Amino acid sequence: MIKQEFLNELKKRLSSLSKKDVFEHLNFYNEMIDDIIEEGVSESEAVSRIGRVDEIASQILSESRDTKNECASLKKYSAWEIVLLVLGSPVWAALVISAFAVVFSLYAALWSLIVSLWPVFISVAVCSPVGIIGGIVYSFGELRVTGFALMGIGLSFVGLSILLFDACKAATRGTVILTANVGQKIKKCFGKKREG
Amino acid sequence: MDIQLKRGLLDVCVLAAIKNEDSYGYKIIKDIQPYIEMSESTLYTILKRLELYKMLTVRTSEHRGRLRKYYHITEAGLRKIEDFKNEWREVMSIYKFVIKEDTVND
Repeated sequence: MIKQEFLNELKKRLSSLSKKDVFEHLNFYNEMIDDIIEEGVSESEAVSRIGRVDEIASQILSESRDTKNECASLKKYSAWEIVLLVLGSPVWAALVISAFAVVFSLYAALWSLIVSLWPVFISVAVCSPVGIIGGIVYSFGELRVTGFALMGIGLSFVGLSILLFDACKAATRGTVILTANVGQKIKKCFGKKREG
Repeated sequence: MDIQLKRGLLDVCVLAAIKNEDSYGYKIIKDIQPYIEMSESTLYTILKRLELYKMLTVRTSEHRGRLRKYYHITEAGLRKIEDFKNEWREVMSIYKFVIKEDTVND
């Protein structure tokens, strides 16, 4: 049997599978046969090394059923478990929703705090040059003492804004890293469940 | 050999075959055949499953005027091999115990 006859026969026998699955299987065997031929073997010899097309099709269909059963069994619950889940849903569902609400509120509060820190920094940072410039202007006029006081306040605001900037940056970075870590852990949690 | 045991071993064998360099279907079978028997359709299923669990990735490259799929192991695949090695150290120590007990009873 030559390669094309083998593939046509295999395609016919795998007609119960999806078009995508059939296409991928045919590609796989086509490549396999070509690799055997590359070793110096004739096409018919390569096809016979692969095996009988009816046995191969039968094994593919069997493996395909096993894979589907494996997926189905992962989702199966016993009847008793389903009854318990349904009867207990007012309790566990309410608890789960409350837990999510508490975690979410804490998280929202944390982010609100971080977000509100930045306007504080901005206002202090803006006030510092205003204070210094205003102080200089006043000190050349009649209100000299007020001018010096304003300059002093402006200068101290410069220092305060530098401290505030570092604090805001550290707090924001820490919260972003915390968010990323929690997100990764949740993703791993769901990823492990899928692998299991 | 027990079917479930063989299935688990075949998964790791395929990963081991692509551990040091990317490989393709026929070469994987040739590399594994001296140690454990595996048909082409079984290999196909294993490769699909390992890809689904992100233990390997697939790329298509041109080879002598035709396309060939190459399989590349991922971090998850390497971890699977390490887990297997750790588990089998335990199995080997139990096996040695069983053999020892057999020898004593004989």
